[in-house]
Amino acid sequence: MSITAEGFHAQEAVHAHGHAGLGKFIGTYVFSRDHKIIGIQFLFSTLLWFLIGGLLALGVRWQLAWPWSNDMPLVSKMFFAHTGGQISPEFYTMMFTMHATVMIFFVIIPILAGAFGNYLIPLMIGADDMAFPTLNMLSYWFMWPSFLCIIASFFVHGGAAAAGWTSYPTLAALQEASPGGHMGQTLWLLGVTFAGVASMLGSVNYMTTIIQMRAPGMTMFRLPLTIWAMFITAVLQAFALPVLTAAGFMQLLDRSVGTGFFLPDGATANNAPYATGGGQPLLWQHLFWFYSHPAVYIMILPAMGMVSDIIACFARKPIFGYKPMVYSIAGIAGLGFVVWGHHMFISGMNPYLGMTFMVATIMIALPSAIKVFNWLGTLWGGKIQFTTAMLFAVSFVSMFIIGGLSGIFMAATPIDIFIHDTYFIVAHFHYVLFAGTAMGVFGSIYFWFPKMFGRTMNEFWGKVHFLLTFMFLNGVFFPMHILGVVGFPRRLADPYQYETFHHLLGMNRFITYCAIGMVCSQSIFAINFIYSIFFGPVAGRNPWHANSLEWCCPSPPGHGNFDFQPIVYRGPYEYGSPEVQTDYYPQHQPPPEGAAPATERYMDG
Amino acid sequence: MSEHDPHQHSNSGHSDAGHSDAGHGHVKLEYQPALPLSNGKTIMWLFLSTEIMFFAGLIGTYIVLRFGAVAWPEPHTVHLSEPIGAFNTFVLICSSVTVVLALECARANKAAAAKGWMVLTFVLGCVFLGVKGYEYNAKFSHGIYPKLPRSQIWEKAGIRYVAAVRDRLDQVITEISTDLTVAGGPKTAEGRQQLALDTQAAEVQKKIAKFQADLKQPSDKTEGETAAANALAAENKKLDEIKAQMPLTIARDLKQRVRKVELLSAQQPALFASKNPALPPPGQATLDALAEEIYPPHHSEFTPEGDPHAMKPNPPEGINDRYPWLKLPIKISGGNMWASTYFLLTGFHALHVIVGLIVFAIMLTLTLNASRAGMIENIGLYWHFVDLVWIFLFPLLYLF
Amino acid sequence: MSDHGTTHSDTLSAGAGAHGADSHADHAPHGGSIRTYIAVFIALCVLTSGSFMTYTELWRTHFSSHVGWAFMMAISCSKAMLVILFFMHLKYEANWKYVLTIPAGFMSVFLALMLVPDIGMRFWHYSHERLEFCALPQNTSHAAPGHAAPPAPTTAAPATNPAPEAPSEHEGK
Repeated sequence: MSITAEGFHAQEAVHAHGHAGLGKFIGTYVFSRDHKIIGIQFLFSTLLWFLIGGLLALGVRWQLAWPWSNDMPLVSKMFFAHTGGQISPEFYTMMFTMHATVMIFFVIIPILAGAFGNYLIPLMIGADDMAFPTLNMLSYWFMWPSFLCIIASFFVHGGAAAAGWTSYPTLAALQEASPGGHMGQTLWLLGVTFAGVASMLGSVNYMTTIIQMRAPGMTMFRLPLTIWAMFITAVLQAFALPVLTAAGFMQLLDRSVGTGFFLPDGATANNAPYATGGGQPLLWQHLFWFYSHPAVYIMILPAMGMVSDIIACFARKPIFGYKPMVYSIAGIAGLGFVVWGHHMFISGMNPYLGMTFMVATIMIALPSAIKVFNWLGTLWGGKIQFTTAMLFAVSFVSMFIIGGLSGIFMAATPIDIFIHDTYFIVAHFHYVLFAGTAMGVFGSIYFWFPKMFGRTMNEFWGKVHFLLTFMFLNGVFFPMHILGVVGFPRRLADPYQYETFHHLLGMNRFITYCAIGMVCSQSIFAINFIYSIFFGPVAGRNPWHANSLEWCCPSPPGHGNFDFQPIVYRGPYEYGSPEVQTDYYPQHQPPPEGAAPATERYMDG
Repeated sequence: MSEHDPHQHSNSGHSDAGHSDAGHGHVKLEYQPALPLSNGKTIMWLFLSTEIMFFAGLIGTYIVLRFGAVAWPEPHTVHLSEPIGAFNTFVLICSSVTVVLALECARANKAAAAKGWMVLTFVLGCVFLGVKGYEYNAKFSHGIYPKLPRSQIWEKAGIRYVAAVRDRLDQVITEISTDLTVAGGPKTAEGRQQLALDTQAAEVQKKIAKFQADLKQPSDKTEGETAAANALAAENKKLDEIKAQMPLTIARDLKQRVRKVELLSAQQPALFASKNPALPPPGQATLDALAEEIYPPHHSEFTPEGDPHAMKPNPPEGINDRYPWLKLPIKISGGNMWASTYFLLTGFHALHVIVGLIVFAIMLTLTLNASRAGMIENIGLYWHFVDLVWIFLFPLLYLF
Repeated sequence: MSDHGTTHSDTLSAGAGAHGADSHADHAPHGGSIRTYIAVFIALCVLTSGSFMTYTELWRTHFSSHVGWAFMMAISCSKAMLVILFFMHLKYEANWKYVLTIPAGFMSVFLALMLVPDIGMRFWHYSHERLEFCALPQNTSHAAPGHAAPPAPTTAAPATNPAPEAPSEHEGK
């Protein structure tokens, strides 16, 4: 961003003048325009959805470990009394569809951009709030129609959507094609569209805030990597989401008024009348992945940024190669826009197009590798403090390597043709999204919890939580690679109907045991989280001795965030600077008298 | 659009007028110089770039579907009128100019002039929408919808098409005959009209009876008598009028329609091909001819390729044009896809116009002096973008 | 709604005391004069009638529709440029305009281009069965010129070729 104006702009800080009693409570905590409250609202909502998504995943695992069992907890007695407790294949399809939908649209994206983006952006850049607080509030409340649509879809005729989270036509566009293809699918589309509008409102706001409202001295290259990642994520959302919104509307019209964008002539299902289409199912796949591939980076870049901050802080070293880190985030985002076709290698796509997408996809390994090397370089020779947050951050890096490497496998068309729609794919994206992003998010919660609630989470139970989660997640997701290479198909209610897969039942049971263990160990986190909000040890302004701006305001920050005018003198990673006695050197701390101008050493990395 | 919020400026106006921060618990922060733009303009431009992507998705879809389609209807077949589209383009261009002039006036602090230009912009936007509604109506009245539920479009004249035509004829005949027997009340508009006239006549007759009774009453006022007699005469006249209307409807007309349908069936044995085993199944040529007789393809006024002597006059009007009440299925190859994309693109464009008009309407309640110039500039940017989209839609939809 | 959205628009106001005009030195040349707008308006009208010209008999009898399409797109792009540069004042803005408009423009064109091989050229590879179900051009004699002739079954005169109506369709109804 070019900086062309001279002088600082004073911004008006206008308060919501509260009213007494209930009105004040609602204004402050429910329909709040304060970015911190909105961020925490996002955090709580998404953690609740995380629980729902996790339970749906357990349902999927139960069926794969004990196919057609009569005693799936809760579900068998409540919904399938008439079949003696056996779930239907359609119910299985619905479970994995909704697991993915909930986890992607209601957990990962909103917890990164909504919760942490909202909470951290103004604090870390030295602003008193977002540029448009009301718009920011709307971006949270637009999630609610979406939540309601998805909840309602479980209770409509035919049940919730069951066409996979990718919602491919013709399965998704024909009402009769699947049991959830009636109202459930329509509600799914509405829900995703609302979530998209919410994200879009948020993203333009984030960009404006980051561009226009940085504290004096906070140049773009003094921004913490978290903010860079959030900024580039916002760019991704702003450019990619509208296309999904457009495509979502088209599919909605296909389903409701009989247009034929994604329906070929003569398409039919379950003896339904022939569709008078003229459209192309592949068109949906292109438009969908045009959003949803960048969305993969929307789901990991902010975690990468936050992990970078955590690692630098607890390695007590400047981040290794700050600018390459920024450029590699931008590179991943840029390349992320031109690789969507690698999800469609076996869709009958034009092979020349597939070739192009394959090359572009493999190129993403370059910026990703730069990031991994820089994290390792940061750790190298550092005085590492293994706090819970650091443990999660380091596990993020190692798990991301596994997930990234398996990604290179499937980027190559010939290999992808073999492993497409097998558990190899499932292993890959869970390594990136759960073992990667979710671990990064856990680390960030432990790291920024003191700032959010003014108290620290229990370190011992945090480490227990880390250890159990780490072990169980590898127990769940690593064997899936092996399943996938054998050819075990995903999205099939009963793969054991094929004799080839009989011998894989044992491994699937192991995975399910681990999955149950993993979900149960999250209760440690939940208890620790809730307990610490009320009874944790009180944290000061800067419990971790970190550098970035949010640590100079009170914990939790009051309305308007800063009780003094922050002025930024250096980048956020000046750990172990020779200019000061302490091993940290906050961004806002004026240089000692007579010191030479701050050298921004990390920039040379 | 947050930046159009009318309170925004009153807030800052308030603070400009010496609003103090004391007692509010936090300091007024200063920021690093960044883009030489207001936050409102920044977010508006960012929003517009998301809008570019939104319409890129829609227009890209249209382009690939249209050129990837085996068949695509000619504009006149689907009742598109190029001059009307051009007129609407002109209207939007004018409104772009007026909004930019409103901005200039506001900057010069000429509030009244700015308001005038803004009103003009609003009116032009409404004109655009009105013309759009007129155009939509032209399509709807010919049964050109995306497929469900009322569309009459069929992609090709096949066996199923003929079956649909036959079904529709059967349906028409049933409707007419139920109306004639008046079992369960009339179903067609004509039947309802008949019923309305009947009731009206009955009411008038009741009134007449009352007046006649009044006249028979002994009365010492001759004035009253004459008045009642006049009223009676008037009501009698009304009754005559109603009676005069009645015969030109309806029963006879319904019977005529039945005869027309029967005649049609006789002319088109293909319609009864599968019902009558004696007739051979119709060949494709017969089916095409049938489809063309129901709804002849309307050509452009000029043949596309070269020689003006090859120019063909449009065929005589089809069965559907002669008897609009028949609403027979029509064959427009690629028609469903055409309707899908046309209504999608123009519909979303019209939605954007409506949003713009709502914001204009809000702004018309304000004094448009220099302090609102930023607001006018932002909504102006949005409005120009809407114009921009139409600049591409017009040739793509009407002239390609 | 915005607390902060007002900084610069305030300065446009007469009474914006706090913000000096000096901080907006590069914001000052905000757009052209009324004369410029009128000129742009006239140019837009002329260009619109230019693209409308492709609808006239004269044009249609002299040029193929491909020429017409290219011509109309060129005109649309020029009109768009005029609107963006003058009405949206982009001509007078600082360098941020490139950051904002070029990626969006690039991405939208890229999206459309990537759809072409799969969707735009799809029917080149239609199977015979597929063609039986798809809509066919109205008639070879009426077909719009731009439509590439679809594969074999449709180029034959429909009267002599009942192939698209396969016998299996009789059970359709």
